[in-house]
Amino acid sequence: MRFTLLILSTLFFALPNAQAGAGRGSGSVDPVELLVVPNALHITESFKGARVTISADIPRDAAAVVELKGAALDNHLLRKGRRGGLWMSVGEVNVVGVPSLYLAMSTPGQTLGKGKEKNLGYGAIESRAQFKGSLPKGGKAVLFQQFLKLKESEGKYGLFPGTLKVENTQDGLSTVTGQLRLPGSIAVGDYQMILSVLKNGKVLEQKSAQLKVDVKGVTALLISLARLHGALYGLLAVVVAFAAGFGMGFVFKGKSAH
Amino acid sequence: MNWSIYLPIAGNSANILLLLGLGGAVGFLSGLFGVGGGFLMTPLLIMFGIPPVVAAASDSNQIVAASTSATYAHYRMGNVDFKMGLLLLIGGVIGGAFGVQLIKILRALGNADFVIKITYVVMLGVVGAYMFLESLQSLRHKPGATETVETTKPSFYVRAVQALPWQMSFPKSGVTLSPILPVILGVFVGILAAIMGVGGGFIMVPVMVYMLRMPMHVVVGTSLFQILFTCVNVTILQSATNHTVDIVLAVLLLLGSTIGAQFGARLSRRLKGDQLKIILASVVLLVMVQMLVGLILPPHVMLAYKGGH
Repeated sequence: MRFTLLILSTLFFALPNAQAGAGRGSGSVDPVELLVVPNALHITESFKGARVTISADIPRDAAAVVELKGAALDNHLLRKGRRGGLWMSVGEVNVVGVPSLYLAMSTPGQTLGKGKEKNLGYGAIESRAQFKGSLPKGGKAVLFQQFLKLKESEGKYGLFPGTLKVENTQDGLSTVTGQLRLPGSIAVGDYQMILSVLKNGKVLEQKSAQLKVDVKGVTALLISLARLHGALYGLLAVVVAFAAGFGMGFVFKGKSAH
Repeated sequence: MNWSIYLPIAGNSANILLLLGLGGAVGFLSGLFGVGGGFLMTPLLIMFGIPPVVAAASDSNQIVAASTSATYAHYRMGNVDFKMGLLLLIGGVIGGAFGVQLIKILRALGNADFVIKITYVVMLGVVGAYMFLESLQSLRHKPGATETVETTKPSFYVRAVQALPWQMSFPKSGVTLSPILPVILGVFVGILAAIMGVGGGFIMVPVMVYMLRMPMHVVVGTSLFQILFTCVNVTILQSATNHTVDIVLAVLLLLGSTIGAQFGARLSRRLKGDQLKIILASVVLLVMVQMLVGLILPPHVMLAYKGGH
């Protein structure tokens, strides 16, 4: 019995390490650590987006890509087109299985999804995405480009090749650091920061860390009031408006006598 | 200093000074012309990144404040015809309910967007052009005159109005007509307002001036009174059913608009009726041209979120 437990516990601890080490050549360095600061963001009254700093140690001769991904989302969209010389919505399309947020950066010289590393960048998103509804003339490829343009205009998608800074350390490692700007419109939820260590376009190792976005304070109170007690929230909004309107009326009443 | 504020329902941050300024400018126009300003404010908010459904619903809430402030100011000046306003409001509520059903059918058929945009451009174009030309003609012929006086023999429209039953006097407006007419016109404006998703002030004002023959200053106060109640209804309905009213956004807009509305109401007393009409016509025509350009030029982004966000 003791022998069986010993074997099982050895397997339990050994397997994940074996997986992480898969693909690494002989003479590989210590496991890569990914540091995300801050690892939790609180949306309060003064929130206007945030900067998140990433740092990690990677083998000196390797390249790195850092991706921030939101949960997969179904996007219900209206496609614009020309009818009778006027631009208007001409059909509905659903883009399914794409992340709510996707920001990626890389070390200098490392492309994002344009070379051998097809499983990174927008190409990877497109391969997993499903497109339903009224597709444009060029089909899925054209629709995906339009989708990217929409997301990039909101600051929710972005590729920043070469923006990770690399500094060599003494122990045969390089420290990579970078900053990602998160938009003010970021949604509440759990986001994944993924670091991929690459050599010759091949992913040697991946590490991930969580970034949690939640809402706090008066903002949280107002959101829950609006969602759970809509009519009461509406009445409150009208009372506030009446009070402001009459209040201003009284303030100006005295002045209008002159 | 951080001038940004997070808008909880819009789910985005915005600049406080920008929202106060926007509210002030639109409130000024509201007090000046007796329009709610929805036809100006909603597109501007969308332009600054507020989801369309949140922009429209929160704008209704701020219009409640601006029109309360401006109605109160006009009431003190004796510019509100409550009797006429109530009749128009009854018609507006009936027409609004009918218009909402019409939009539902059009959405099911898939061409609501086209109908809304075309209605906007046509209505703004017709109303703006007519008001502009009429006021220009009036200013040229009678420099210094405040209101036009009917001297020629009654037109077919006037005779038809006089033939309607239950003629009653509206002393504040100085007109005698059947209550059927304001109710019918209210229904018409209510349908258009529901289709276009606005309070309907910019249609109601010309209707009162040209079809009910009310003096311009009473038109402004009475229109605001009617808009006030329409927007109270919309704010509560939107909050209860769609949860799209952003109270933080509305408060910032209304802080600006209530002050702006007071200055607008004061200036409206200093300007002559025809001058007011020609300025409003110019604003309406500018918005129409901007919308038309938006329909003709290809958009920067070819996709939009269904229902705003």
